[in-house]
Amino acid sequence: MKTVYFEERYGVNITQFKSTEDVDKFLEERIGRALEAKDIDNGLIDRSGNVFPVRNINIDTNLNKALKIQ
Amino acid sequence: MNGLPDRSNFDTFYKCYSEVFVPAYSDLTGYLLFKPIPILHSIENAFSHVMQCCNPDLNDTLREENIKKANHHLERATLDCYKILFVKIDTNISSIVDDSELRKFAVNVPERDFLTQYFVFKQKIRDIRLKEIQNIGVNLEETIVLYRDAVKIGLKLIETIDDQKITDYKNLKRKEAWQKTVRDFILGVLTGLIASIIYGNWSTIVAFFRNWI
Repeated sequence: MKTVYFEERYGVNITQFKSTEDVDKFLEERIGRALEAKDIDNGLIDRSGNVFPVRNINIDTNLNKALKIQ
Repeated sequence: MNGLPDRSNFDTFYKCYSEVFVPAYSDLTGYLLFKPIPILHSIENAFSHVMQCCNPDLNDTLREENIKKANHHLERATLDCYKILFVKIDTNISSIVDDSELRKFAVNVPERDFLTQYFVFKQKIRDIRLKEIQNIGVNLEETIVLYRDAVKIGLKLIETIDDQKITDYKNLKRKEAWQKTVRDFILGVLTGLIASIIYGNWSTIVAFFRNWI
């Protein structure tokens, strides 16, 4: 599957990237700093598989809010 | 069987990872320029299931199930990548749409076309979301493609926004506000000065007008 943003923005071919690590390394080289892991306002944490409770915020809730769907 | 799941399932998993998930992850990370923690959680969940395939205590059926679950986690993560991307793109575009001056001056297409395209974009995502709610768990791959296509429309809209014009417009607004502050300050000082002169010479002024009348 082709990308919708990455290849055009950075002038690369996605088939050269075999893993998320390759993507991270490439972006870090481009922006000249390490990529931070950050939470997003609209957390979409999947509870399954986690032992501890996680934030009860769902991306779908935010998506529905953005789309004004009840 | 050598104790590992059927090779075809591993192949499906790898295909999903490299051909579906990695492109979506690269789109999102390339746009945000940080690694979103929720997606990392999904990768961790998928990894946990993959590792269960190496668990000698599990039978072949359970291993098969685990690789399928790992695959499902990746598909969910891919869908979430596009959903987050939509929300971020929508936030960026709506900041322009909500500002009647910005959407006139900072967009490289006529305002009416920009607004029409924006509402088409929103409507498309709304339709997909409603369809997704009605068909939860039916076909995730199809939903991923639909979201991906809708995000493309949003990105095209983003392309019409001229960042340089936004910067220039904001600088102009800042300059205007600064000039207004300075002008109001000088006016205030002058008014105060005139008022204090009048107050200090009130009796002289009254006498002058009495004589004049």
